Amino acid sequence: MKIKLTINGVPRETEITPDEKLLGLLRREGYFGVKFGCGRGECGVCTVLLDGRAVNSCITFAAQAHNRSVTTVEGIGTPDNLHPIQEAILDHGAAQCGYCTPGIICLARDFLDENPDPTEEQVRDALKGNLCRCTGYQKYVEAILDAAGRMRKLSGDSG
Amino acid sequence: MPTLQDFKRPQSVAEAVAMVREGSGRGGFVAGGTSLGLARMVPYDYLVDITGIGLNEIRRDGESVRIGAAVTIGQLAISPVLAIGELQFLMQAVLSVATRQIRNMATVGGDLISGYPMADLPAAFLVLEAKLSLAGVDQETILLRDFLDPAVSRGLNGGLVTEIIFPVPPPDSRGTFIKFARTENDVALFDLACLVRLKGDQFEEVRVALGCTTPLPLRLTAMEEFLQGKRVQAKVVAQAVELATQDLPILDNIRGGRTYRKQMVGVLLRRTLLASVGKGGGSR
Repeated sequence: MKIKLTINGVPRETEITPDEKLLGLLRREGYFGVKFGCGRGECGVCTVLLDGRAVNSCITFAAQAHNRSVTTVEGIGTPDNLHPIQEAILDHGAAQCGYCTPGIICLARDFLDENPDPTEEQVRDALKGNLCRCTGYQKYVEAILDAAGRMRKLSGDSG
Repeated sequence: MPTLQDFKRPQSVAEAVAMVREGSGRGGFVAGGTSLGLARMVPYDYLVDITGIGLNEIRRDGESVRIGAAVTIGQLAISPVLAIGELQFLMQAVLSVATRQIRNMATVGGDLISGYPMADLPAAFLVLEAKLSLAGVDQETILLRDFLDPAVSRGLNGGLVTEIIFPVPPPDSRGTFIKFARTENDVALFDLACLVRLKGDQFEEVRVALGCTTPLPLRLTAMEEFLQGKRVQAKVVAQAVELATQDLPILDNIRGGRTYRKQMVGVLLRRTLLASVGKGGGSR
């Protein structure tokens, strides 16, 4: 079956099978920032944004993305034009092996969109669905709190 | 052989019901898909997506709240309609569900009616006396507590739950929700929801529900009736807990053995009740 969707701002039309998952579709299309981990919606390395909300692409049917907009880590920032979340992760040395990083960036994007000024506890809670076996989370927590500050500044202290 | 052959997108409730019906059992409804997406083999030939048929709103209707069955659990978490003191315990239940990513996809309807043994919302909606609106079957509404019995819900096969409706608890009611799991991230060993109204130093009305540790989520009616009109005292609460746990069918599985669960359920019931009347215990 055919579906229409937008991937990182680019409208696409693509052929899928009804039982195919969004993760498979995205990697087939070359978005390798989306990782395969547990395949059960538990580890979060496959996290992408579906209409701006973080979801596990490994248990989302590709068909569910029809007429919707998907954002992968590739669509959040580029090496030349990093998103504040990506900058903060670099500055804090929050990524080690890096396998969980794209998922955490997508998660943080959704989370900070809903809660631009979170407490440390809220950040830790938001990270529940993203396993990281290297860092112990501390640096990610610091980076996301820092990113929140940078994003508030960019949005012009309008509050 | 992959079984799933089609993913249909109806435009209305009537169309969705007709699409499933014409397959005479080979088709199934899908909303968030977070459990069907886990299945190695989806047990249907085709799925009918109910997320685009107008079941996506949360609204206040006089003294009731009406929640579309396809509202995501994440939507509940940020709904201004639900952000009132009387429903704070419901919000705790909502935020205890899985992870942010799952909450963004999984729907209220799915969590309540799919019969997952680890679902966190049934206990909270049980004390709210929630009822479900149905389409495609003769019966128009059914109490959630009745629907949870598989023998009852099987009789409604082919029907679609369209809405969850509950009366807003009176302002003087106090709610508590406790999820108890092995770790912060694990599925629940116990969910307890409690809604209490006091009159002076007496229990005026008590509603208590238990999830995840009995074969089905249930209301503890013997305990509720016992407490009504009784003085708020530790001794009375202890008697009520004793009464509630006597003949409770308790699960015995890899997450927790029956002996352990039986003892813990008493401890947690006491904590939940005491927290509801503002005597010690936390809200978590």
